[in-house]
Amino acid sequence: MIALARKIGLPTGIGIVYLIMTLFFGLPLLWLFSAAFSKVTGIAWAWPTALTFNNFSGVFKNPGVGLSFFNAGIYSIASALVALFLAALAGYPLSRFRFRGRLAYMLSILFITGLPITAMIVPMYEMFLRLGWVNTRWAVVLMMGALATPISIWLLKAFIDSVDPALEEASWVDGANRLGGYFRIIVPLMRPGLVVVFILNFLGSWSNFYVPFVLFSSTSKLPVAVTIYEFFGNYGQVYYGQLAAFSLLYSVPVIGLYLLSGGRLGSTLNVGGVKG
Amino acid sequence: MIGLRHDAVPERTRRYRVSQEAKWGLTFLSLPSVVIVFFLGFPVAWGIYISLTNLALTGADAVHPSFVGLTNYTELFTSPSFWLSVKASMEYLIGSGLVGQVGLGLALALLIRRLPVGFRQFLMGLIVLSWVIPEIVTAFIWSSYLQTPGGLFDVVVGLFGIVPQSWLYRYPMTFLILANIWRGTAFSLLVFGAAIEAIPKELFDAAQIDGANGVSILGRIILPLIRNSMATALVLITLWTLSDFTLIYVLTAGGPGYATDVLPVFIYQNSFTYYELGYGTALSVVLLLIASGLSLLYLRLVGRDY
Repeated sequence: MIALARKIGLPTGIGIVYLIMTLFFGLPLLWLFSAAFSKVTGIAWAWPTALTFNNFSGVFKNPGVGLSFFNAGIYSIASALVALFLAALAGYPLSRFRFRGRLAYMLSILFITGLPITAMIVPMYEMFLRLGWVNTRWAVVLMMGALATPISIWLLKAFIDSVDPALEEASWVDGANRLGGYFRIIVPLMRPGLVVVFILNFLGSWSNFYVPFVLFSSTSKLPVAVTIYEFFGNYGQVYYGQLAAFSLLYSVPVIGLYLLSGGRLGSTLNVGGVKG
Repeated sequence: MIGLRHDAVPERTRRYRVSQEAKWGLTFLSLPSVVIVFFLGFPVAWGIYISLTNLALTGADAVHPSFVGLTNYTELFTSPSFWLSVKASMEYLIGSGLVGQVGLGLALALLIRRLPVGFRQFLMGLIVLSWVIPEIVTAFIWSSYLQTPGGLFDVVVGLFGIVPQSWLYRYPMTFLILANIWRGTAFSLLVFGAAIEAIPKELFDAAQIDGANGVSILGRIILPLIRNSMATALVLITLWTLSDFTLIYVLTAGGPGYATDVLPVFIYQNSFTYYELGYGTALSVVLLLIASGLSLLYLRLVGRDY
């Protein structure tokens, strides 16, 4: 590879760094793919000599796995939509108006984004218990939506910033009020931003383990994040192949959505960016 | 109204417009704010109250907790295990968050620009894939990857004559840090990459004509211009790293001893293993304070205009 690097005119130093980085990031992924498709079972790693899909079919023999994928899909879509709607509302005045407390609002949101879920889980559970919301799908969806809202506001605001205010001013003249003008004129223009934020929220909820783990009590309502953890706890140390296959299946929607969004996920994350 | 410039608007109209803005601002902000306060703010506030009681998960103190003032806090600050936990959290934050994700992310963002397209896409693909897969899967991957004897890591380092050992037992923090760098570097790489991409090319050309070297281009052009992205990345990565639980819990569960007993794991143990919810939430409040203190510090240091 270093010889190759030199052939294409890269300095040797960069070639070596590239090789190390490729190994560092690539090897764990190699384990995941080889263990999932390999006929070799057991802990010791070996190059896969023959491919098999037995591990994948084996995963679905465990009761409740199929249902947990369906559950996770529903929760993730619903909570992503909740967060998107709330963020679209809040992002507008934060982008367009200069009011007192705006900076404080933005900073609080940035802070809430990183609130440790471990720090909130106990009072959260207490709250759900007293309201009788434990083991209730819609309440858990709202909770996950609320968790995704702050970062969505932060990201969507940047998209609203990039839409020319003159466009919505024109709509007021036509008699639309701010709310109507915003949802009719601006929101459609932000479609790429909305898609990216929706995908990010979906991914966040799909990967959320803690909230459903604590707030659901019946097995039939659990999303994949929790069933895969229980699978690992029960069989993970023995059935490496199945664990890898389960992990891949769980990751497929995430990887697929990322690819679907193209490079836009990256540029969205340039929150703030360079001021011109 | 179209075409009127702000300074041409009469005083009365302008005041009318400001109050209109206030009205619409409230309309737009009310629903999101209520949801955030109810679902996120309220649990935090209630957590602060619980931390002043002796609430337990089971027994009499679960039903009728009593107010104990700052007892949980004094107990905590005099407990050696708390300070070991703070130490573990700081090692994890500095190693995997600041040096790892922010430092390596910036270095890779600079490196990757110099690579031919195919090479760049291949490495970016690997890094982003490591990032998008769910955290719990990352934990499974690293637990199996480091399995000894016979794990893939053993096989690879064996090529260099390194003897297999229980990596997570001998060097627990080092390997946790590596696993978290593996998982999280894509975020800062994408943020910095996009910010550097947005710097006008003429600036680099001009610097090169003036004979600037790589270091001064980095220090005088790149870093000042990506300051905003830097502040955001620092704050978010710090908050995320400090609250990281799943990866550590699955890989080492805080051990051996207190070597990797970072605050979220310590909180979990106190709340759900020892059933001391009051004490556990007092720890949570301390974690929140550390996180907010660091965030404010970065914003002050790196600065940022909104």
